[in-house]
Amino acid sequence: MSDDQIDQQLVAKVQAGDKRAFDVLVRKYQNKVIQLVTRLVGDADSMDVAQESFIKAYRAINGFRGQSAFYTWLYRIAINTSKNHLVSRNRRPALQDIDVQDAELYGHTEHLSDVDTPEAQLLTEEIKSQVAESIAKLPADLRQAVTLRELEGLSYEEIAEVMDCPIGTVRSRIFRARAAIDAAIAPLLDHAPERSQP
Amino acid sequence: MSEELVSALLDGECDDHEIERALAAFERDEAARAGFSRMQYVRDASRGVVAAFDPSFADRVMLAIGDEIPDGGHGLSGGVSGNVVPLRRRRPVWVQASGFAVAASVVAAVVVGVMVNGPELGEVQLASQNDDSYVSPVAMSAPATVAPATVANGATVQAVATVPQTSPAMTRQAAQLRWAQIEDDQARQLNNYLIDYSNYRSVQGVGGTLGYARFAAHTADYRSQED
Repeated sequence: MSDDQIDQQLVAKVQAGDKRAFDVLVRKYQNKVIQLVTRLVGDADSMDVAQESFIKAYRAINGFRGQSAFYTWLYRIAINTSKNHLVSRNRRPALQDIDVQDAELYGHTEHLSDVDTPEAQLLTEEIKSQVAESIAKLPADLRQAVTLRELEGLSYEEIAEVMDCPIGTVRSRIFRARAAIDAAIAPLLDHAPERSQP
Repeated sequence: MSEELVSALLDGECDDHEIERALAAFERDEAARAGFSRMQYVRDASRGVVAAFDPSFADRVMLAIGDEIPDGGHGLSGGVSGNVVPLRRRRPVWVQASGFAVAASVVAAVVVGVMVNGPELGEVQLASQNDDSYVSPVAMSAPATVAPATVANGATVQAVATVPQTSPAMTRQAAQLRWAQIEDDQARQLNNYLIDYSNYRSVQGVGGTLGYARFAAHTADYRSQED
């Protein structure tokens, strides 16, 4: 099952009244939405606007028919919410007016990282470094499994073929690799600067 | 075991049954939820997503949603749209001022036009009212039908229908009378103009704008091209 298919399944569950599925969707996309909103409205209001975007998405989710990917639909809501926020504050966007395609592209465009907060940039760089270091320390089978998954983007089935092992083993190896990485990353995240909340 | 399931959910490697089990783990195990958030953050950071880590963000969203039920499936409510709307930009002051100036100019032109043409229109109206030879179509209407009606006490009253009834012949007669009032040279000018206008309008591509010229030329001192 692909990422989009999982999203469709989760959306269908939310539409059927299962809020746990929406919790998963929020956790899955919160970082991307926060990044996008921060670039549009600035750091000070980004959390409020991102939160409002998810609430609006939840209220409107019965109108989502799956013509586009869920994250594309969510991005549009986040962009509209950000624009409305800027208008209500009588402000203009810090950047040029952007579209969904731009928003999706922004996450992979280096020079636009200039608008991110120094704290977030620093944390991201530290995490990247720590992840690389943690992966290097992993046993070979775990390192290979998590690398094929995270860096090469292979599915469990494809990894199982490459590593010549059952899919269940692949799943277990990837989880154990992540647990090891998480153990190294958790102190960084625990000491990450707290965001001021209203 | 539940965290392994959550890890598989992160990768989209769950079947329907496993999704349900993962959601159950999500609901009962706070550590599973926190672990999912951290794994997702690490993945996003590794892929270049720069965002502050906020472990309580999802909890706040879910708290804000509370027991709320999503809106009905017929469209999006509350102005929420899946389409990106253009940012409403405030128009500069000079644009608003120029719009006001244009509107004021149009109003002034209309007022001047009424002031210039007003007396003539008034005179025409008064002339029509004082001219004994003028017979209005309404005045030439056939007498209204008078139908006797009997009320409860036996008295007969006349119910008069006041709706004018105009036959085509009477309308035609009124038109002929009205036409006779126009002075001869005006009639000649108008006839000439109508003939020339019809000829000119038959030329392809110029018919659209001349409808307005018809009104402008009605009282003009027009001479046909043959003269």
